[in-house]
Amino acid sequence: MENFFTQYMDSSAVLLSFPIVQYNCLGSWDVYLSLFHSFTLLPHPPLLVVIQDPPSRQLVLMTFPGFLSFAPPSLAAPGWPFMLLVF
Amino acid sequence: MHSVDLLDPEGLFGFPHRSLRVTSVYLLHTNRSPYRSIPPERLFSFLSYPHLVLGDFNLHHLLVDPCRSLSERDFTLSARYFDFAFDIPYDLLNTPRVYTRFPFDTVSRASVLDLAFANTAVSPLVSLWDMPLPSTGSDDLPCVITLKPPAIMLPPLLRIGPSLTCIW
Repeated sequence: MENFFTQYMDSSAVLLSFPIVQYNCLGSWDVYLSLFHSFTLLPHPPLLVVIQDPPSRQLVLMTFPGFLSFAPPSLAAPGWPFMLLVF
Repeated sequence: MHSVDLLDPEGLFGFPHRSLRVTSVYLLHTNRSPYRSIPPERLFSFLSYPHLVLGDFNLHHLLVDPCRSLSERDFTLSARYFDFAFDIPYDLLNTPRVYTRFPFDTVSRASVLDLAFANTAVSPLVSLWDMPLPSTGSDDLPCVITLKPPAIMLPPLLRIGPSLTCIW
């Protein structure tokens, strides 16, 4: 993971770039997975993904390999926004 | 609405601010359960540290879509959010006329529903708002916001270049 972050930092470990992706997934898993797979097209993958209307499966917090999820305390209402931060 | 505070003890990009707040917004202008509208007063506030407000606002506004014919309701509703944000002030990061939603039907026109606002503490760090990613199969396109430290500005007489002039 240290190697992953070095592409965003200078030799003094100062952050040089902080890409953020913003997207409404319209509650679709296909859209959600397609979004994350498309990050390979970016010169630097996002460090933060800001999602609206994520897909839900029995109110389980969705995630993606390499990302950590942050969500409101309650996912009771569909369409709640949430975020994933790279870790 | 959902916010996350990112902390950097060394200071964000060398700036004195040690935190960045990012708020994700999904506005549905209805109070029909389980949804409820979020007033602009809850989205935008006077903060001394960087704050980004990103999301699907479900609003139409002439600043981002100047060719659109707005209904009286659209105009009133969007003005409420935009005016409040600009008064604080927050800057709009979207590039005008760059659409974020392309409906599949042939009747609806493209629109800009996905908006990004930055308060003045973070505006100098925003280097790019762009849509470089392809369609994911939905009618929305992802937006990418890149924060970078502002370019270091040297005093003009010390700037190194092909027409370097040093006056001592």
